Formats: sequence, C-alpha cells, structure tokens
Amino acid sequence: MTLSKILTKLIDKAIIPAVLLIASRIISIVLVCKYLGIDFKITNQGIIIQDFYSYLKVNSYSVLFMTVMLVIGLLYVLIKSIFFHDSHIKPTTTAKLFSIKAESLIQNSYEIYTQGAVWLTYSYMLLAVSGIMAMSNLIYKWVFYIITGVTLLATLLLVFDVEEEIDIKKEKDVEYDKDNSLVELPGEPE
Amino acid sequence: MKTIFKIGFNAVLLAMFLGMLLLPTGFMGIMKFEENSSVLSAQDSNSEGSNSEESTIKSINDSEIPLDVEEMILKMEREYYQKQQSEFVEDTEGTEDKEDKEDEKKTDNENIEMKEEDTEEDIQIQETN
Repeated sequence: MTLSKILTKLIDKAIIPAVLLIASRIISIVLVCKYLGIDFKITNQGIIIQDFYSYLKVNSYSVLFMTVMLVIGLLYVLIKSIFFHDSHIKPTTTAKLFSIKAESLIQNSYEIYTQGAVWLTYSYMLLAVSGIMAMSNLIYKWVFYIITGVTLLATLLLVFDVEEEIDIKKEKDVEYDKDNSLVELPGEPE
Repeated sequence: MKTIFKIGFNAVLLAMFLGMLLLPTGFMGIMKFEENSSVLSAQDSNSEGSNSEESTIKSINDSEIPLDVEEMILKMEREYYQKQQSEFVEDTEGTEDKEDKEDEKKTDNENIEMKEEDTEEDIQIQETN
C-alpha cells in the first residue's frame, strides 16, 4: 500500500491553518460582539445576531481578524522561502540561525512550497467567500479589497521565489549543446 | 487489485485534504441574523394578543389615537428608518465622516425636540378648544 507522499504532506500542513482559521472566526465573533455590546444567541443553527446592521459589523471585523491570521501564516511561509530557503540562504544567516538554535527554519523547497500552497489556497478560498459576501452586502467592501491585496501580493512573492528557484536549478544543471544540425544520425542520407 | 487499493486510499486522502480546505470556509457561515427583526413598525398590530385577550400594546391604526399624534409617530418612524439606511450606505461604501454624523445627530435631536414641543402645543390648543 503506497499512499501519495504529496497528499500526506499537504494534509499534514493543512491541519494548523485550518484550526487557526476556525478558532479565529469563533473567537473574533465573540470578542467583537462583547466589544461592541451586541447581543447574540448560540443555537443549534449557529450564532444568531439580532439585526442585520449588527451582523454586518460583526461579520466584517470577524473576516478581518481571519485575514490577519492568514497574513501571519503567509508571512511566516514567505520569510522562510525568501530568506531561509536552503537553496539560496546566505552563509552568515545560516551561521546566525545555528547560533540561536533555530536551524529548523532552514527548509527545502518541498517543505516550503507545500506549506505555501496550503496557505495560498486558504487565501483564495477566503477571497472567494468574502467576494460573494461583499456582493451580497454581508461585509464591508473594504474588507474584500484588503483580502484581494493580501492574496495578490502573497501570490506574486511566492511566484518570484519559485522563479528564483528555477534559475538556481538551471545554473546547477550541466548544459549540453542542443544544436544537433551538424550531427549525423545513423540511417540518415548524407 | 493492488492498484485499486492504491487509488482508493489516495482518493480518501484527497477527500480528507479537500475537506480540511473547505472546513474554515464552512465556518464562515456559522453566523446568521434574525430576519424577523424585533424592531416593529408603529403600524404593526399584535395579532397574538387580539385572539385571546385585549393587548396592552396598541397599533397606530387604533381609532383612539388622535390624528396629530399618529402623524407625528409616523414621521419619527420614517426619520428613524432614513437615518438607519443612510448610516448603512455610508458604512458599506467606507466613506464614513464622523464630524458630519455628529452634526446630523445634533440636528436630528433638535428636530425631534422641536416636533415634540409643537405637538405638545397642539395638544394644549386642542384641550383648550
């Protein structure tokens, strides 16, 4: 029985972000309601807010709180990919990390990109849901714009890192002359 | 047989991964609002009370309520809903101006006070007549 290594890794890397986002959603709803003095009921249908205007406020700030959590996760992955990637980490940074016993931050592409893919997927999911909510006037539009900015910026930075990784890989590979116009292959007429 | 098991287990893994991705999105729908808001209109009547006992809460349509009081209540209600709507539009467009709002609130309060004074005067005039 051979289970897919990539799928197992993706599930492993998706546990923490999922728990963090769910917890941030629930905690933020309760905190925002308490802070703004909005009454809410917890029933088997979920958390019920008394009127639409309060719902709009609580929902917007709760989604914003989720976005903050998402930004923290994405920043962690991006810092690892840009500064602590084992393919292009500076020797001085490596020495510093070993001296403070934080060498676990130095990771390979497989580890970083699986984690990055998971966080980016959550980012796009949040963007899609907030887009639908913004169109239905269930959250403030500026919350949706913030998520759009965060998602696009994170995607761009990760794409730049992947490009850099590809360049490094190309430099390391031995280049052969692919021009075979002067090569005589067997069976071809002269 | 081995390949079927392999595909089956990997399909389960994929389903688990997709489930984990969709879980936080599902939790975004955990919150709802009451569609039948507790804010009633002055024109609403208590239908439950009318069946069994005579309700203490009276509707504006009640014949005992004088016309000028009815008009004043309806005006205040209209102003309340207009204010709610304008606040909602300002918030959704993100162009909230606190100073303007405070000014609006002040003028609204002044208007309400003026109207209350006017109605009191009207009532007094009616009584004297």
